Amino acid sequence: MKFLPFAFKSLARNPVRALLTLLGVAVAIFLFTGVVSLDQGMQRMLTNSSGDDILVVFDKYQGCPPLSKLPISHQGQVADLPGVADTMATLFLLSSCSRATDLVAVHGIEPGKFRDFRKIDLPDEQYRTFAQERGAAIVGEQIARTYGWEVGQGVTLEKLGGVSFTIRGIFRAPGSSLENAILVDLDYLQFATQQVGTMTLLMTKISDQAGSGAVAERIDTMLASSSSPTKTSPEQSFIATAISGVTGIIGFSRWLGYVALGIILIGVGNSLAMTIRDRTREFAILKTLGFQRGHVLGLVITEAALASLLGGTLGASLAWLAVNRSSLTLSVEGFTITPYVSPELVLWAIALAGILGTLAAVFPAIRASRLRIVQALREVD
Amino acid sequence: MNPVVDIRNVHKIYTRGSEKLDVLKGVTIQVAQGEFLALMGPSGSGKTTLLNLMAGIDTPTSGDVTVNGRDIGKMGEDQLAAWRTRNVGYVFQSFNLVPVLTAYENVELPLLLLPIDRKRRHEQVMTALEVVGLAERKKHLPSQLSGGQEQRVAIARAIATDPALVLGDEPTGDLDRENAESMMELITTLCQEFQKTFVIVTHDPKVAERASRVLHMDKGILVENQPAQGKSAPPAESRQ
Amino acid sequence: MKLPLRYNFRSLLRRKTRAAMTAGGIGLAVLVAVLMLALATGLTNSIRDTGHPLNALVTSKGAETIEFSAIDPAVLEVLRFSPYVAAAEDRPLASPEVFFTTQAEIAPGREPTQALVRGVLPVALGVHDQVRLSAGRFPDQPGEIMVGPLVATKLDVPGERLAIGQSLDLEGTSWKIVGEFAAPGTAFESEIWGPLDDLMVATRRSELSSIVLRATNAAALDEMLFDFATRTDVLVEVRPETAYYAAYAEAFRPVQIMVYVMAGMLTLGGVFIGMNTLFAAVMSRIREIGVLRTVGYHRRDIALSFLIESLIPALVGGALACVIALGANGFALRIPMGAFRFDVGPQLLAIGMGLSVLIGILGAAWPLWRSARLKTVDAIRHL
Repeated sequence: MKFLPFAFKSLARNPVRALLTLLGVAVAIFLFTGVVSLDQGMQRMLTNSSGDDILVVFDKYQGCPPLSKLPISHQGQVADLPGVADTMATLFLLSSCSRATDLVAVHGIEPGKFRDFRKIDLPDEQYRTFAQERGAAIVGEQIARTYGWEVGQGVTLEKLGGVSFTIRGIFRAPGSSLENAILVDLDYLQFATQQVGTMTLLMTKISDQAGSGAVAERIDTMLASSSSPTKTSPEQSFIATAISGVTGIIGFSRWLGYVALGIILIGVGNSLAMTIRDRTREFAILKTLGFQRGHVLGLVITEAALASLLGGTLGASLAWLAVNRSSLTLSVEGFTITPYVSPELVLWAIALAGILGTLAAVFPAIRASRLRIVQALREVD
Repeated sequence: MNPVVDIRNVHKIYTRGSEKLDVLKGVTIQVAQGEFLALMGPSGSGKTTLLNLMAGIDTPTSGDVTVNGRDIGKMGEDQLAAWRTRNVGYVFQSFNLVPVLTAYENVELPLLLLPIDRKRRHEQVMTALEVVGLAERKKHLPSQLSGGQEQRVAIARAIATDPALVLGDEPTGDLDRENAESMMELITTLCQEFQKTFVIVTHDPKVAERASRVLHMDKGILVENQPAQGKSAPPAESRQ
Repeated sequence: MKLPLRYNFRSLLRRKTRAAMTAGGIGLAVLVAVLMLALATGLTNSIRDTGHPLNALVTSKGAETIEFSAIDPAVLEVLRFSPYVAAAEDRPLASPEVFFTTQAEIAPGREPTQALVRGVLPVALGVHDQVRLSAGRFPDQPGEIMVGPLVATKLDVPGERLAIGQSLDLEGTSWKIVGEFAAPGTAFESEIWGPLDDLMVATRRSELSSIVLRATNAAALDEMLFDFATRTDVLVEVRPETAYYAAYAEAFRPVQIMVYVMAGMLTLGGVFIGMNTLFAAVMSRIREIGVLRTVGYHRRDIALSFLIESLIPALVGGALACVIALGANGFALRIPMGAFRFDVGPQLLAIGMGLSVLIGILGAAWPLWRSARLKTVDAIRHL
């Protein structure tokens, strides 16, 4: 708007007030963004899962993955079913199911099939080495960073019964829980943990997406009377159920985010009301010069929006830096949620700051524009 | 008798950034007790600065300022503040009163700084208000008083602690003729009946008429020395 | 305190909306900070007393947590006759237990939710004496269970759904709720307890998760720990129960740090709001300050007065925040580990008020410094 340069100068005339308002908005937006990043991390994890064509066959009653022990024989039976394109068995080894932080997760997978089911960012060379070598592992970037692991390093996990492996690659899988996981060969893990013939879950690719519900039912019915009855669900809902334990916390933190926004409203509203009061005379003079109500309103709102946008930019940028650099994660049922600030979130937070700042300006601005000239000129303080 | 105000060869230089302003260039003046001195001169002549030196609100760059027997030119901020309460009353042209306090409470302000009990304090406030004729408006806020009444409350506050010296910086400047007249009556009465010493900076020749002595200043020095046709006779001499 | 308090009160009341908004903004900041601290306190309090100082927790060798532990029941027969184990009514206080998570069926058509289940014998009440039956009776028949007060929160159902007489579907069979227990300050509160043997059958396991034994006294506990760890007839992992749950609490450490950081930021936000208002107050009263100085008030008298003017809205906001926060006391929230209650106690309220005072003081710092720097001569020239 044409008021922009004027608005800048007006803000600069009371630099202390502009600074304090800006910083108040920055702090609130920082908190808001940080809090929403948890939600975003969860969303990202859910959307990054492979899609509707993968079903997860899991123990019917278990929540905690290591306690789901399905016999390998289930794989053969499922693979023979019509509608099933391919299957891959996975064995989980976790340091804990309930502890929310410092989770160490080892997934025993079938290297030959893995890349058909999951996307990870890793040079083919390294993957091939991993697939062919006994006792080799590839680890996610997140966990490698946490423990300072490097390619070629040999690691023994005391916490997990002394399982050891050699790192042959560090992969990236942004947004996925896999970034916090260690991948080893399934047979190797079965042997190392004395669970030959066992798997935690079976990933099942179906040929026709539309028929996924029917296939899932078929699997469960077939295995219902076996030694390990199953529950089969699309991968996304499987993960959603697994992490449902954190909905309480995430809901609470969302509430926090709203309050942070409320603080912006009050902070900017207060600041603006004070500014208007101080400049009553100035506005009256503007009106004698021919400024109309709408102009004065526009001026006031522009100032508020400007301060809020600047503060929002500061806060959101700092949050982006802080959250995306930190190694704080939330783990539940073997899945790791990494708080994430996307570029969209940054823009959205800044926009929100501007919107709220403008909103906070509405009432004081209307008051300012309604002032009658004579009264305003007479008003001394 | 010793003069209430004894100022000798006082200089005042203000430094604003890189600029140096010579506001007072060697002023010497004495004011005797019971005198009503009017200080006149154009803007920038240094008259207000001189007044502030007498009031202990400012300190000279060089020279001696002795008021009521104390060399206040060398006192520190806190000392001066305490000294001002007992020794000086000051009336500004406008905005004398604290807007959220009543007339009574405004007059009470300097008394709260003295170690006197509530009863005595009340007596002194009421006395001051009665002298200026505003006892029945003691509960009024400044916004409920007229301009003239506000100034009179200011005077009441200025005399509440019974200081020897009362100073005014254009106290009638914002008042109409009638109010200015009654204010000058009040000051003259206080001067003569209570032997208070008044130094008033003013533009108004009618105020100067009432003074017992008028001094003119220009560009930081005293330029004239005129006994007034007023009601008090100048008891001492003044030098340039 | 030379300047009368009414000077500050009236100055504040002169700008009612401004004072209200300042108090409101600071109050919000304090409210959130207090609630976050209540969360952190609640988390630690929910498990603080789980471990009994005289209990030893036995798990299978190499098991970090009881969920992943599997002990041969025969081990129980060996350990319970240890001379260090206390006895009550002629039977040793040794509690064999299975502990697992399972997907509980709440209602047909509704997604199952995770439940924490512990299979125990009546002796468990003797070993974990923090657990007291609060209604109904102990589930000693097959198909019976009792629930702790936070189970409803953990399962995300209303309390009535878990009243005595209701049923819950676990591991494919229906279990009837016959009792309720209370165990304040322990993790047991979010657990469902049922008969050991019955639950072992239902989960198709033949091994125990843990054996908890009560020692006769502190010295006996030390002996017991040493003995069990070094025995050759049975190979187990043993540690003080308190140590096990202390490690549990470690998991909350990052949460606590985050809470403190956020509380700090909120305080900062409050400071900015308060400072903004006080600045405006000081700047609009420069002339007034000059007049007061002329009358003889010291810089510190005036500064103290403004400090109080900063503290009043901060304290009002803080007090309101504390009152609202009190309303959240006891509110239960579910977490992956179970559930906990927000803990808003007198200590926390004191911290809340302390934060308000801090905000009031910090928010005054810069404006006060600016007001002190004012020269009287300049101040009286203002306006």
